[in-house]
Amino acid sequence: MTSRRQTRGEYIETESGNRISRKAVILGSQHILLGGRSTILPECVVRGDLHSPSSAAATSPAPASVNIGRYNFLERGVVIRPPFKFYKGSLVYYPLKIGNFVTIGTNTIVEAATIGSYVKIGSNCVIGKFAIIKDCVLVLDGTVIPPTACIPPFSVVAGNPATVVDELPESSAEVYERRARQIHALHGATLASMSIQEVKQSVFDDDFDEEFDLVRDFGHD
Amino acid sequence: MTSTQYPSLRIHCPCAEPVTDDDDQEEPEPDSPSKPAPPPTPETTTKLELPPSLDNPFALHTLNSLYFCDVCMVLRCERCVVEEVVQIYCPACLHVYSADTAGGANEASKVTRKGVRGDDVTFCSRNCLQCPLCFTNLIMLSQSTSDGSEASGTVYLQCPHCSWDSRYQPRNLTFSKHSSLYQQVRKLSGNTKADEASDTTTTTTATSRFAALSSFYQQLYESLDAEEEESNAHSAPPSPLFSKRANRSLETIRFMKSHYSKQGGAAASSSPSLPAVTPASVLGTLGRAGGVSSQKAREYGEKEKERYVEYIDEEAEEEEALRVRDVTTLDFTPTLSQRLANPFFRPARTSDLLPLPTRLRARRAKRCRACRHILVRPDVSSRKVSSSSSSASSMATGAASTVATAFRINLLSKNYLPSLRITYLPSTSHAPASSPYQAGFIPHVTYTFVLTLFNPLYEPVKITLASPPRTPRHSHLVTFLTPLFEIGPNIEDDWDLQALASLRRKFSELKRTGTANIPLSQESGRGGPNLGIIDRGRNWTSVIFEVVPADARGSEIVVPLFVSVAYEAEVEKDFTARGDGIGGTRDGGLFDKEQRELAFWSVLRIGKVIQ
Repeated sequence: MTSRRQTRGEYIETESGNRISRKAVILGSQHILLGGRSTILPECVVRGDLHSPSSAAATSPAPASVNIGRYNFLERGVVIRPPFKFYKGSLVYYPLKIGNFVTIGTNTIVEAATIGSYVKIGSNCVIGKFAIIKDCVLVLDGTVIPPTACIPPFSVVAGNPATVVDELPESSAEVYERRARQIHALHGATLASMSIQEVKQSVFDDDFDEEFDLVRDFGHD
Repeated sequence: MTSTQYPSLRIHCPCAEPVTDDDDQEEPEPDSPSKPAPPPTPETTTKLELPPSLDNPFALHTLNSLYFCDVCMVLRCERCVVEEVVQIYCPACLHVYSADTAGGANEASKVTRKGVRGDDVTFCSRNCLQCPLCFTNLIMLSQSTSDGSEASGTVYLQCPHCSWDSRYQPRNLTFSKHSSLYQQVRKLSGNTKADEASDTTTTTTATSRFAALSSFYQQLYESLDAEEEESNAHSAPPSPLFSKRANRSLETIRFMKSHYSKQGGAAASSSPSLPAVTPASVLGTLGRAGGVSSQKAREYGEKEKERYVEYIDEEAEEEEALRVRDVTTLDFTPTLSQRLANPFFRPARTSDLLPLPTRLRARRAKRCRACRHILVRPDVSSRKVSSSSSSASSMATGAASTVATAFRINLLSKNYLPSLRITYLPSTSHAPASSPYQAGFIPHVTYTFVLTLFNPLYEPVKITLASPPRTPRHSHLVTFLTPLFEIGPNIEDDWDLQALASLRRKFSELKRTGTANIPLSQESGRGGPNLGIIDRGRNWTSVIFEVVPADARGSEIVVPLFVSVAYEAEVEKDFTARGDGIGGTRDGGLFDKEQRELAFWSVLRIGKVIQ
C-alpha cells in the first residue's frame, strides 16, 4: 500500500490502483477481492465479513465473499452485501461477484449473486438476493430488482419490480468500458467524491452520462 | 426524446430523406417573394445543402447507437438496418432454443421459430413462469419441506416480490414435477381444446361452461355443414335459413327476434337455467323447414340440455351472485397490463389469474440495407460463455450454450466517425454561476464554445467543418473559427484518457478567467488558418466556435454542422488485376494509399434564447 506522506488524503490507494475512501465502511477486508483500478467512494459499506465457513477454508486462504473486478466505481453510500439463505435452520451466505467496468450509483443496495461486466447501475436501486445480472445491462435509477431475478444481456431495466423496458445497442460493451476507464482517470485527477455525472460534466458540458438515447419516461401503471 | 437536455449533439442519418427528383427545384414558393437566386445547375455540385429531414427527431441519433458500413463507407442507423434472428433464448433461464452457429458472412440466418413438434417456439417450455400480478419470475418451492427430499413431486410457485402464491384460493394450484410447468399451465388456461378444460376441479364454472358451449356449437356447425352438403347433393335447393353458415347466424338472429316478439316472455323452456333461445331450440321449432330432420333437431336439443345441466353448479352460482352483490370496490379486477399479458384468458378477478409463460427473446444480426454486408453478428457458438461466467453462480450452465455478449463482427460508427463534445467558455462579463443552458441565451451577445473532436481511426485525419452562417430557422449567427484542421491518429486505442484530466484542468481555468484570456496555442497564435484551435492532443483537437443569438425570444438554437473526415487508408494492392505477378511496383510495397472520405451531418442543440 503506497501511502502519501505529504497529506493524509481521503483515498487509500493500493498497488493495483484501487482507491478506497477512508470514510467507507469496509468489513472483513481479507475476504474482499478488488481487481485493479476500482474506486470506492465515501459512505460505502462492503460486508466482507458475511461469509459462511466452508470446508475448503483449511486448504485455501480465506475464501472471497465479495469479489469486485477491475475499473469498477462505487458511488457514495453503496451497500455491498453477500446474499444469504436459510438452509436447514441456519443462515448460509453465498459469495457475491461483480465483473469489470461496472459503475454503481449512489445509495444502491447490492445483494446479488453475480453482476456481469460492462454494467451501469443507477442510484437508489435495490438489487435483491441471488439476482443475476449479465453483461452489458443498464439499470435505471430507482429500480428494484426482485430476488432470484435474471437480467439478460443488453437490456435496460427499470421500475419496481424491475421489468425490461429497452434494449442496449451493440456498442454498449465498448462504451461502458470507456466510461469506466474515463471515470477512473478523472477521479484520479481530482480525487473528489463527486458522482460520475458531476465529474464528467466538469470536463464537457454535454456529457450527461447518458451514452445512449433512450426513451426517458416509461409509463408505469 | 421528451425533454431535451442542453447542449445535445446528435448525428443525422440520411435514411430519413424523402426520395425526391433533382429536377423540381425550380418551383417558386408563393410565400417568399424575396427568395434568393435559384439553386445552381447540377454541374456545380460543390454547394452543400441542408438535408430536409434534419429537423426530424427520428433521424437524429447518438453516435453510440449508429453502425457503419465499411463497404458503402456511410453510417447506418437502427432504422435503416436489416435485422435477422440469430439466436432465440429464454430471458429468465438463459436457455438457448435455436441458434445459427454455422452462419456464414453473407447467408441469411437459418434460425426459425419452429420448435421440435412444429409449433412456434414463443414461450420458454421449461419451468420459467411469471407472476401474473407483477411479472417477476416465480420461484418453485416443493410442497413438503419436512425432510428436504426433493422427490415429493408436488411443487408450488411463489413470487419473491409481491408474495403471490399459486396456492391461494380459489385456484390452489400445485404442480407435479414430472412435466414442465409450462405445459401444465397451458392446459389449465384452456387454450387447447375444450375437452381438456372439462377438468372442473381447477377451473371456474364460467370458463368451463364457456369452453363447453363453444366446443358444442363448433361441433354443431360442423355437423350441420356436413349434413347440408349431403342434403344439397340429394334434393331441392337449400333452405334460405341454413344455406351458409354466415347467413345462418344472421337469419337465426332475425328469427330469434321474431320468435321472441311473438311469444313474449313465455318462451322460457322447462329448465329455468336454460337460455330461452338457443340454436338447438331454434332448430327444434323450425323442424323440417330448417333443413334438418326433426329427429336430429331433438337430438341436438337433448345434447345441449345435458351439457348445460352438467355444468351448472347452482350453489356456486348463488355464491357468485352474493359476491357480486356485496362488491364495494373494484380492487379485485385485474389491471390492464395484467389482462394484456394473457389476452385470451379473461378472468373476472385477480385471484383467478394464472402464472404467465415467459416469452423468448432473440439476438439479431444486422445488415446494411444497401449492400447486404453484415454490420453486426453476435457470436453464438456454444464454446464461448459470457465473460462473467463464475463458478460461484448458482445457475447451472450445463451443456447447452449460454447467452454470451461476444460479437464476430461489430461495425460501429464510434470506431470510424469522430466523436464531438461541447464545452461552454464564459467570458469575463458573465457570472460564472448561471449556466446559459438553464438560464437562457441573451440575444446579440457573443457566446464562445469549444468543440472537441476525438479521432477513432488509426490514421491522422483532416476535418472539414461546414455550417450555414445563420441557423436555418431563427437565423442565429454561428461562426466556426477554424473550418479545416487535422487530428492525430488513435494509436493506442485508449482515447488519450490522461488528456481528459488535462482538458478538465484547462477548461476549468478558462471558465474562471474568461475567454478574453484564452491561452492561444502555438498554432493559433500565428493567426491564419489555425486561429481557432485551442488545444490538441494525441488523437483529439479542440476548436472554438461562437454563437450570437438573434432576437428571437424563446427560440431554440439549433446548429446544423457538416463534418467531413478525409484520410489516407492503406489498401492491399490487387496483384491479380495487374497480371504482372509480384513486384514490379515502384515502391515495392504491398499497400496502396487510397484517399477516403467520410461525411455526416450533425445537429447541435445548444439551448434556448430567453423569453
